[in-house]
Amino acid sequence: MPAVPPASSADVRVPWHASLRTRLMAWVGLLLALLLLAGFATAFLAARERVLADAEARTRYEARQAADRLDATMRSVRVSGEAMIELNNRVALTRAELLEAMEAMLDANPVTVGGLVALEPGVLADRAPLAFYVGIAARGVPDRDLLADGYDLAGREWYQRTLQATSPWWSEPYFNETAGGRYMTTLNLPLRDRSARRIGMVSLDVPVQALSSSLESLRTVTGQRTALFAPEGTIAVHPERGIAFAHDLPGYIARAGRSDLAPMEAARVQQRPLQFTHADARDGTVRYSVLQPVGGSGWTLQLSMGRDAMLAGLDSAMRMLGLIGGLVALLAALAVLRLARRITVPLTELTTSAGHFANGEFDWPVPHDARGDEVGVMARALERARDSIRQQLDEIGRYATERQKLQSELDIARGIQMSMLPRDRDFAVGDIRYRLQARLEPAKAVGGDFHGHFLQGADRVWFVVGDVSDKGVPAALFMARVVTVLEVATAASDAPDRVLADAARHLSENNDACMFATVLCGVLDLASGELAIASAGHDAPLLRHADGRIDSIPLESGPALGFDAVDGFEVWRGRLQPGDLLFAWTDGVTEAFDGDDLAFGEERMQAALRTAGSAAEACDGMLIAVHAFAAGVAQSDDITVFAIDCGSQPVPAAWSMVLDVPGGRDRLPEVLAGVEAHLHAAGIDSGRVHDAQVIVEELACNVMDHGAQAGVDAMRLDVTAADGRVVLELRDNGAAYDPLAHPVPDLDADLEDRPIGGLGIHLVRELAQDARYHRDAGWNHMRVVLEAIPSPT
Amino acid sequence: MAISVRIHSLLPNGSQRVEVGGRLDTHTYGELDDRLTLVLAAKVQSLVLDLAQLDYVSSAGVRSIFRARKLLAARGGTLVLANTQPQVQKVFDIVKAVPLSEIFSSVEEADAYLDKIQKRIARGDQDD
Repeated sequence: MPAVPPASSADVRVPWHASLRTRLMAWVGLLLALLLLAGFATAFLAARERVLADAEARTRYEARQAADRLDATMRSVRVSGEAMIELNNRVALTRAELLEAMEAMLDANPVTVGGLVALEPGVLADRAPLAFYVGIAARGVPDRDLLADGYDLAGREWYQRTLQATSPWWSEPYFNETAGGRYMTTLNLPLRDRSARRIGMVSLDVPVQALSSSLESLRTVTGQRTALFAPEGTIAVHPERGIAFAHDLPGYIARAGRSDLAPMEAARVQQRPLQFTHADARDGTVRYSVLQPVGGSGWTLQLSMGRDAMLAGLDSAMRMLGLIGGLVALLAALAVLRLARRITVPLTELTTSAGHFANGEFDWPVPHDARGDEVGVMARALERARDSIRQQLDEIGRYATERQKLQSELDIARGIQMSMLPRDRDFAVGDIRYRLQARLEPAKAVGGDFHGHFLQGADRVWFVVGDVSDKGVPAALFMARVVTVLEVATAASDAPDRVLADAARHLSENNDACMFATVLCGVLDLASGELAIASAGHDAPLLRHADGRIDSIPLESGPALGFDAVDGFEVWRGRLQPGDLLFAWTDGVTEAFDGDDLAFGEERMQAALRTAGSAAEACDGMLIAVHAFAAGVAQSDDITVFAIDCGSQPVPAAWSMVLDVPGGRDRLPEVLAGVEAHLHAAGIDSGRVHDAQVIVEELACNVMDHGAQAGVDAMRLDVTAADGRVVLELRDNGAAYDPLAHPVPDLDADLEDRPIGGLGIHLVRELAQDARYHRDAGWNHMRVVLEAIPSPT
Repeated sequence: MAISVRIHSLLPNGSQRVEVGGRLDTHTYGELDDRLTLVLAAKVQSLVLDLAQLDYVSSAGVRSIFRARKLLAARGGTLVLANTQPQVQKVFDIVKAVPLSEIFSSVEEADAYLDKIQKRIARGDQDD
């Protein structure tokens, strides 16, 4: 099992900035703040509009109110003046009475501080002119008799204007030293008699202060300013210091650069009301101004309101609202944080539990599993996962135990399988010794290769080499079956093709697993060295001769065993002679691969086989060669090698062989090979060996060709090499027949005329030093002698 | 030991070289017969049998070569042997299946001989 890294608390804890909680809080807070901001902005704009409208309306109203108050004051002055005029016109008063009345009139009006009564000569009863200034001593203004002071009244422009005037008029403010050093304004009223003759004037002095005091209340409003303009434009009241009385309005506009006030001057001149918003170019302050004419007095009142002041309340209200909004957003974010904790804290706890599970601490509790929300679902899922993992771990443990058990069983199986393979064995018959050797190296603990040999009677040894498809236990089981079937089949058989056919039939039955085996099956006659071999899908063996020559046995292979019940396996027949070595193998040898994926192959196998001195050497040498070739690359397949060698024997005095007739013709190569081997072994030169073979072939063929009609069923060949002579004796049990009686063919005839056959006996006659025929006890007996030169070796 | 037959490509002059090796006996002559029949089915004028690898021959094998020689002779062709091993040479000597004059120790000699025959035939044709 792979190591699980221990769950540390560091894994469980998430840095605050990456935490779900922080992010939720930040997003909710931000969203809320944005929403509030948008709401506030909308509300602010709407409220601002409204506040401005309200403030402007209030300013207009207050301007009108102030103008009305001023007008009332000024009209009271005018009423006082008009009352004097009415009194003078209606009652013939003396000078003293007139002045008395004037004083009473002035006294009665709180804003008047003094007044002038001037009468043209001849108006009073004494006909004397009158120019007397009545002052209210209580208001700091003394009386003065202008006439007595020699004051040039008639020379005053304002006097002349008043005489000419049809209605009262207000003077521009002027500084009056005699009246206590104050700025005054005077209402001048013309005096007319009943015939509308200009008879003098009455004027009433009002301190500008008395007028402006009625505007005092307006200044209490923050940002509200008042200005009062005299009929000619002189500024009587102005919020800026040093402007009042020093300038008229056009002068001020020009001097202070207040072009924004130009429309107001125009309206003032025309005595019409005006409301407008303007910006002071000097400091950029925006103001709303209302110009209101004061009745018909010619005075005008300007009331202006700074926009900042109008909105001051709104701004502070908005600040308060913003503060509250921020607090709400913060509280909401904190609430979200608290809510999120209900998710993240359980998550952390569950993660901690999961970490403990990873460490194998499956008894660690899973918190929150009773909750009804998603956290509860997750906790329960974790619990299920834990239970499943625990269960599977248990199972894995069980499997491991079983596997261990299986491994030990496999080891036992290998022991059993190896015990099924026979031990190496030697057989000796007369002077000839055969040695059977085999080696098997399974690729897995148990494998599919096998070999075996079974003795049949005293002089026949069956041998099998095979390879079951696949490897491991199934192959081993099938292999056991194959070996058993083969052993049974060989016990009752005399030819390897029949053994294979028998085995094919048995093994194809109930072979649901579709296993199959390639099998090489052979039988060795210990007495004669005769071999018969058949193959079911297996490589044909190699036959190595005493001189190192290696022949591939020409054997057509049949199908592997296990597929179908087939028949007709081909049989190769030959002879194992002294010095020969038969070698068989499974494909684990030829298909052993080296590091470059190169197969061992048959050539390397032949090279390893060439010099082997015995079956044991052949087997061991081959394994060494294969392992050296594979050089540590894992073995991919079972490797089996099998060898039979034929031990050397003293040169026999004679060699003989019995052939069945008919049917022996197929064995003729074997006969000739036997003759060759024997004569070679006897040291006969190869030319003579060739001749001997030709003679044997010609005579044997003759017997087989003609003997069938002659009733031949057996033929015996005896070869003897001794004293520099080769004696070939051929006997058959057919009707008497002398082949030497056959006429000599005409070898010198024209080519067209010559028959193709009839050369065999001629050859025998010509090759042999001596050839005789005689009939001997029912046998035809041919005796042929060849003079031989023994070869130097 | 089996027989081996290797057939070389037909030369433009109608000469064909066939290598025969191994053992030519009662078991294997049938194969040579079959192979030579196929060779002779073409317009082969002369056949050079290279027997360098032939280790063994019996009367059955001699018959096979003799048959081919007769077939060729019938159409005016020639069969010659080259590179015969001593023991094989001996058999041919005995049965006289091929005249001694048509057995050569090398393929070159055989080719030279065949060229000479062809030229003679060509000359004879002109004479006619």
